[in-house]
Amino acid sequence: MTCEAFGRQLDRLVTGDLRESTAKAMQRHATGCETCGLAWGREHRLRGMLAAVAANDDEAEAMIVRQARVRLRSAFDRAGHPVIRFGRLQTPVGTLFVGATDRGVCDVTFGQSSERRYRERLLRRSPEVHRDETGLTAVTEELTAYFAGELTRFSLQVDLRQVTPFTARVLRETRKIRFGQVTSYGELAARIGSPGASRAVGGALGRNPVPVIIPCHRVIAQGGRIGGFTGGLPTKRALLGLEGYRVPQPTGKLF
Amino acid sequence: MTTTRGGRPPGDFGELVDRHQTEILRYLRRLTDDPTVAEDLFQDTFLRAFGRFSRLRSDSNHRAWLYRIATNLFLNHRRARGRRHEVALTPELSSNGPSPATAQDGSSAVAALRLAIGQLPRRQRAAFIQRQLHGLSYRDVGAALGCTEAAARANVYQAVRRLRRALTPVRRRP
Repeated sequence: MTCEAFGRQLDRLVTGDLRESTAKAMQRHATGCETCGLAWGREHRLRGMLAAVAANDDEAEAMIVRQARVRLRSAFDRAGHPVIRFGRLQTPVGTLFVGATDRGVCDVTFGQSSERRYRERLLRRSPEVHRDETGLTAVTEELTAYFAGELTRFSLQVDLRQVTPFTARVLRETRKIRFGQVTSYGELAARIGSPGASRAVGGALGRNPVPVIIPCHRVIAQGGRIGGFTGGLPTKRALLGLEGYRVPQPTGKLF
Repeated sequence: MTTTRGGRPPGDFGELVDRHQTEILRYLRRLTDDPTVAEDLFQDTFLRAFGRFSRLRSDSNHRAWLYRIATNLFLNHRRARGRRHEVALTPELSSNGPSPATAQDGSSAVAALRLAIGQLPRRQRAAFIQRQLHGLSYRDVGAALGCTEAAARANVYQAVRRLRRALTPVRRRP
């Protein structure tokens, strides 16, 4: 091996990309050539130092990572991706899944039978989703009491961060509608100061993440027609029936 | 398919965080000498990753993908912050600070190397740290930097030459 060839291969010694046969040839050359021998030693020292840096002697690292993870969770929360706990309960209208963050109930879902699919849906919103009924006792107790006809007003906090400000405004107004009473989309639009926006109000109610707790089922179409409901019209009828509201029978006409 | 270290792709995002958080935070702490900046970039990396996670194929190389996001954030962060600000925040790297070659004696040799790595140009620094300290393949380094495997290799080699120069004491002129 010539000094020139030796020099060309020198970088590979540090990066570890050197073939073993080449490394041996270089070593033989380095023992016979003073200049290259010095370079050989220097490169080995550099390689050793690199190994020391790579070995990472930061003893505080485990603690730093733990703290960073806690702050990462807060950053996710601030960005609208909070930790969500969920549970399921049986009701007269079928299985109900409920999800809650530290700020309140963020999801009530009808008609979902698969826990796996429910969890997957929550995971699109939050990186941390746990099934945790014990953390949801207050929620399940109030819902159970409601379905038993023993509770007419929920005291639960709701977390509406995932909806737009307009939808949140519609939902907060909806929450004021009393047990057993109904109002129309147009009337609700007028109450939030957007008369004529009944179609938009209908859309906002369709995006209600916490039905039952925010009683969007108490909003019906004008002329006694029942309107829409994400959980299905039979559920809407059942909820209104539970609250003692006499639901007009479907006429068979859709519009 | 390129598998992530650890084989099986993560089932959910939380698992991805558990698996790679230490490595990504360490990477960012090595890229920038400001721990606060490193942690900001760490948070941004996983927030950005979360937004894109559902669109990621399950057989993707999640590890290289995270390195790519972290590296892009680092490169853009430095660009946005500007040169003057950078010097102001890192006084030890200004011209009055110790140079790697003068800080090299005895046990501080490793510290001198760390300092020299911190003074590498950004892309070379990223490539070098990924390859030499975190063991990424040249292919993954290329993916993280958005360049070819050959360009990734070139960046690592340029970094090595620069480090060698930085660590060689300057001879006094006669």
